[in-house]
Amino acid sequence: MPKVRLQNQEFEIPQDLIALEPTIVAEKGEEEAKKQRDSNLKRWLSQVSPAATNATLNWTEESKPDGSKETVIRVTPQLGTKGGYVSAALIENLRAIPQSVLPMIALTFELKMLQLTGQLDLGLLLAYQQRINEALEHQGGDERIVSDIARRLRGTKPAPGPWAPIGF
Amino acid sequence: MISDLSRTLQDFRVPFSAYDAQRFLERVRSVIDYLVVYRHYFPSEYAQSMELVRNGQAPLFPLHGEAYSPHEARLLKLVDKHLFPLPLWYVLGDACEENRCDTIPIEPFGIDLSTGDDVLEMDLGWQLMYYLIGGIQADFIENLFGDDRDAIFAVPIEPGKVDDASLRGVCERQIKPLAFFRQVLDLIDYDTGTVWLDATMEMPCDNADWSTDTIDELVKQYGEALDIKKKADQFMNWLEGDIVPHFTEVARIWNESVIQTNQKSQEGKR
Repeated sequence: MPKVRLQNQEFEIPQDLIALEPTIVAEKGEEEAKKQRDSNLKRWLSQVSPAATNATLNWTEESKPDGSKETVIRVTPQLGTKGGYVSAALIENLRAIPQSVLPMIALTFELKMLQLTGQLDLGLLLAYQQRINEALEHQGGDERIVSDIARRLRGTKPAPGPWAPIGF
Repeated sequence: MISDLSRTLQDFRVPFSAYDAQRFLERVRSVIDYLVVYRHYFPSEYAQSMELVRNGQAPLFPLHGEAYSPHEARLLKLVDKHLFPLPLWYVLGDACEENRCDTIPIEPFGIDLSTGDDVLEMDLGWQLMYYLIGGIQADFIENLFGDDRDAIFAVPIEPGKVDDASLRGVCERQIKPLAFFRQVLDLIDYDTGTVWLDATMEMPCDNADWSTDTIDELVKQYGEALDIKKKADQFMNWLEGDIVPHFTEVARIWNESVIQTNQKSQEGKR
């Protein structure tokens, strides 16, 4: 049975977990099959320690006292702040979101500048009235969406997560 | 000349958070409402105020920390003087920014038992009306009528309720001010159809927006409310003027209305 060394622990894992998938080897080559195997193994190990998710795996063959060989996988967690691997993914996702200024803020800037330069009068304000109403209604819409999500989550049946919570 | 530099500089602060932006836009929306009302109802005063704004002698928006701009305060006084009463003592008395009235502050002047007023502190005529409709027991008030006590409480009273159509029909056949019994009962039931007499502190009217439609309706209802109040006062003066025979008359039309209401109810069930 292959062994894993992870954060001062050593334990055996099923042979299946380190086997290469023959169909992937045939279709995409051995390197790709190894990548997928490592990825699956890290996912499995993350149940033992979340730090395994982004860890580096070092594969070695070690001799046993009886002269036989065994596979040893050293799992080296990526150094960084606690939870860093989660925030890195989050930041990546946030960066992917198109940048925009909240319409309400943009409208506020516009009106404030007109106010400060003494350009506002009833005629101009009335021209802005619809945009103001829409901006305020849109703001209320965001709040409604969030409160709707919160309300639905409160009524949702709990389900076990695939990973242990960070810090436990 | 800038009299208060720090306050003037506060007005130059640009809202950066969604919360501040929302507050600013809500304030602008309210400023627009006030201006539209001002121009519609008081065009010459509006023109004068806007001239001051154009000359830089008055701000269009309330200054930082204040509820109203000078022209808005003037509008409130004009509404109070020419359209309907506003509780200016607190609207302008404590005019800090948070106290701005984004809706029209309505101070009703009907019966309000939710503010701690007691039926037993009302005039005798009103107390008798509550007794007549079953709102209070005779023993609460019988000592207030001196020599008239026995005669008043010997008047037969039909227990039950009256529907509006029966009451209206019976009252229309009476002479004035006895005919105003209907208005008295509407006041007691908070059913006058006017916000000025039907709202209370417990059930206030807090959704009257500063729009011309709402103000027109409030003006109309204010006229109706004054008329109802005047009729109810006339009825009470008449009732208390010669209380035993007049109460007997009121009890008669009450009994007639109850009997008619019961008959209609019975016919409806058949």
